[in-house]
Amino acid sequence: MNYSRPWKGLLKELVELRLNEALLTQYVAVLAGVRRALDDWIPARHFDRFGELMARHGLVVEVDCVFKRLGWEAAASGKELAPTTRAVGARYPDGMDDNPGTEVHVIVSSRADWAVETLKSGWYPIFVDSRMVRKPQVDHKWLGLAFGYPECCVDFFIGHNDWPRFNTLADAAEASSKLRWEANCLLKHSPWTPMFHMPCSFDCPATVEYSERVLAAVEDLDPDYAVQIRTSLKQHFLMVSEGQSYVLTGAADGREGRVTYEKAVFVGSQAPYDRFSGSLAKGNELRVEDGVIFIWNGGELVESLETGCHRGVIEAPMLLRFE
Amino acid sequence: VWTPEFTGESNDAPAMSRLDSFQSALERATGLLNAEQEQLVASVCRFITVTSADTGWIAGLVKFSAPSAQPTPDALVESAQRDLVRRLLKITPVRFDSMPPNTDGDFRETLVTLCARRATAGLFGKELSAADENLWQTVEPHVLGSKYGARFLSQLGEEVSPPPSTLASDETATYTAETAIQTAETATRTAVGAAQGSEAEDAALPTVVLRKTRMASDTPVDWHAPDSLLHLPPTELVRIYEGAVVNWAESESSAYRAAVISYLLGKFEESRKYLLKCLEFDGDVEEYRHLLAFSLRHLGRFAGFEQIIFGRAQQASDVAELPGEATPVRRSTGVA
Repeated sequence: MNYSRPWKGLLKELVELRLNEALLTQYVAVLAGVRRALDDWIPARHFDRFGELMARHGLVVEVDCVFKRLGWEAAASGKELAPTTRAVGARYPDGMDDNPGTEVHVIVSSRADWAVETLKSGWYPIFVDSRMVRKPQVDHKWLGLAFGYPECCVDFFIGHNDWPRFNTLADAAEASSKLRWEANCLLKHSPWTPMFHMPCSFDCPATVEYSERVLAAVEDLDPDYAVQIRTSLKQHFLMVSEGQSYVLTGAADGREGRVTYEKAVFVGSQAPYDRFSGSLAKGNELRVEDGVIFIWNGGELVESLETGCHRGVIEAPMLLRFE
Repeated sequence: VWTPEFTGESNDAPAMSRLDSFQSALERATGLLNAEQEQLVASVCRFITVTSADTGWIAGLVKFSAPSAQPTPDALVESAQRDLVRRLLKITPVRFDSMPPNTDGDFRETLVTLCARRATAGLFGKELSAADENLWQTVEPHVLGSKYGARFLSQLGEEVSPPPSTLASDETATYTAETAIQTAETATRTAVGAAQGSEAEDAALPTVVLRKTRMASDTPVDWHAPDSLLHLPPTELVRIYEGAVVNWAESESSAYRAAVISYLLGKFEESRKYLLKCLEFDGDVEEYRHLLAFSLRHLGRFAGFEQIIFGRAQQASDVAELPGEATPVRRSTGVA
């Protein structure tokens, strides 16, 4: 596995066991008491060592169940109801095996009672015997509160968590009077974020405070990492949907509402959502207008990308510059 | 908004000249729309283009065929309706396993056209043509008999009789309109909404009807009831709850209503009690079993949850005999 930076201490062990660099700051947040709990998916073959690591740091782990990942295109009734999760569920520990696609869904907390409370509402949509098993929507609210997310953001999420009908990020941007970098959640699938929740606005005071506290805890652990996060968040982004966003590196505001950029880097959730990397690579200047992304190269229009409902996700492209 | 770039005609003088004439016609057509028609077009259409190219469907893009395009109010609204129908087809996993009789070619395209024309006729207060009306008589029962077909028609604003949620969902079952009505008459309709309040009070509350999902099917359970009632203020929930608990032991709908509201209020021991009663009324309802499972989970009885979800406890009696005590909490391996 290639690492994006030289990790140290707990963060290094987490990356090696989880085989993933995302969510690291949320472990720091749990350790620092900024959030009450988190949930994560641990490769089954590393699960024992993960439990030992958590115990060494005084963290409690509760097991939900075993996930066996499905291919993206796997045909199953109801998969449109869970755009982000594609897995078959099995009882723990019966479903454990060494397959790379087998993971354990866990709750991690600094307190046993918080871990159990989170586990109660922590069910994720998975297929069991060919049926998608989902929880009622109210459980999403209880889970957000159990995690320790700001209540305003939990309520906002509950009102918007319907990918074919709502674009949560576009609505959060609409609700913002300023785009604060501390509330920038577009890098949530990368290591460069202090938050994992969707803010109710990009200047939500509770979210800004949450991020500042997490970053302070990260700084204590690894000051360079904290600097890198701050720098990463203060950039131009092309946001299309929750699953599809791009960092525009070397970006600057240009003429007629355009933004010039050197490179567009996909920072969405999963590769199949990435529709525009190829087109964005053809240009160095873009503008978003009425749902269309116009791309220029050297002043010449090279692409106009229509957006709509793709893979069951509503696209609402916006250029966001976080300050 | 016209996007000449879309058709590659930005440097084509005749095309740009045709564009001027098209723009004028479009403005005239738009000006003739009433408020409802205009709202529909504005909410659906983001771009209008004239092209002969077969570029496939793009949500929000209304296309008129070049070069003779002359948008009329009816054509504009029908185009918007087509887009809307296609969007609904996109997000509703409706399956058409066979072609209805007397329809040729692509059934989905036929359906898009027909639904768009029906909706447009409705918006203009006109009758559907006799040919289209005849076709609809064939198409409607076929859609209703398809999986998620009733939901699709309901989302389109069609009056679906019976309501889609009263249909028992069975992977192998297909319903014609006649059998669907028969099903509604014979099945227990479990109204969850405001059955006990006065008419005036009820008007403000959602009426929620349970679609029973059978164990033999593989469709996801219908959480329409708890999800809809979630947004009611607690005082309203309590009012509905108080109406339901009066006769929960005698009425399946009252028992389910009490169970759903208990769950939303976080009273999981009560929701467990009411759901066990629901399962006595009808043991083959996944909504009852799953809500019971999640109630047990909130009570800390994880073994009971797993027995229902992973073990698929088959009978109401199996569920009733689930372990009564909270399961000891499981720690991960390695944690002392």
